[in-house]
Amino acid sequence: MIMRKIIYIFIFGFIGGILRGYFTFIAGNNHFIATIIINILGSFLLALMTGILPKIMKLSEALISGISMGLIGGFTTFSTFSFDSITLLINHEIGLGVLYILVSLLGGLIFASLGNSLGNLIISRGESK
Amino acid sequence: MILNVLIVGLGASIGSVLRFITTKFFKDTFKSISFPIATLFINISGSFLLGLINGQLPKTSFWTAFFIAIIGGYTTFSTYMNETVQMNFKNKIMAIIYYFITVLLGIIAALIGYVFF
Repeated sequence: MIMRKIIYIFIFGFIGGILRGYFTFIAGNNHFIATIIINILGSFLLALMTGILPKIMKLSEALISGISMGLIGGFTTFSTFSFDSITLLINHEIGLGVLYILVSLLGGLIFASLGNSLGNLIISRGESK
Repeated sequence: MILNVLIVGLGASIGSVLRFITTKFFKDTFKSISFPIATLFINISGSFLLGLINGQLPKTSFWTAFFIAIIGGYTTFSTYMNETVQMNFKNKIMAIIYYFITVLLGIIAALIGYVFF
């Protein structure tokens, strides 16, 4: 079971990383914005999917781990966020640094809440039918 | 560009598996603790390591890119946010502490890794 989970997480982590890499590289000098969007989008999708995926589809536990820990976990990144923050602050871009931190933190929290609420709404509608 | 994207993908594969193993270790070892210390540890240690790699290793080398990719996949922003939202339903004060302590210690760890090592 553990081995199966690890294999799924490895494969889905690869896809998540490819997506993050692609978005970051096409953003070029705007990679700060790319990381913000990746992290906010990933927070929303994880909140939405962890609630509804097991209920709407018959998926194995290993596959759900692959999608949540691999695909979304590998897509989003905390280390780039914290390192980007200090890069901006060290380079005396204090305003941009503070803005980067605030938008990431508030955006992530708001969109994770929205994903969670939307997931609950979808589940309760499905059950009332 | 394709090679760079593939490196990020492979690094994220390895990093995600490392995150899974670390999370499992913390859950098995500290069964009674409901606070998400596993993700906290992962994000702080990853921030420190990313600072260290950027401060110490040559910018253009393959291994630098590969290690950065592993750390990028090892740490997670989405789980951090979702744990905060879930905890907020049970214990608001703990959720607020988790939310702020992660970002504060993460940024300090990245700074220590980058500047002091």
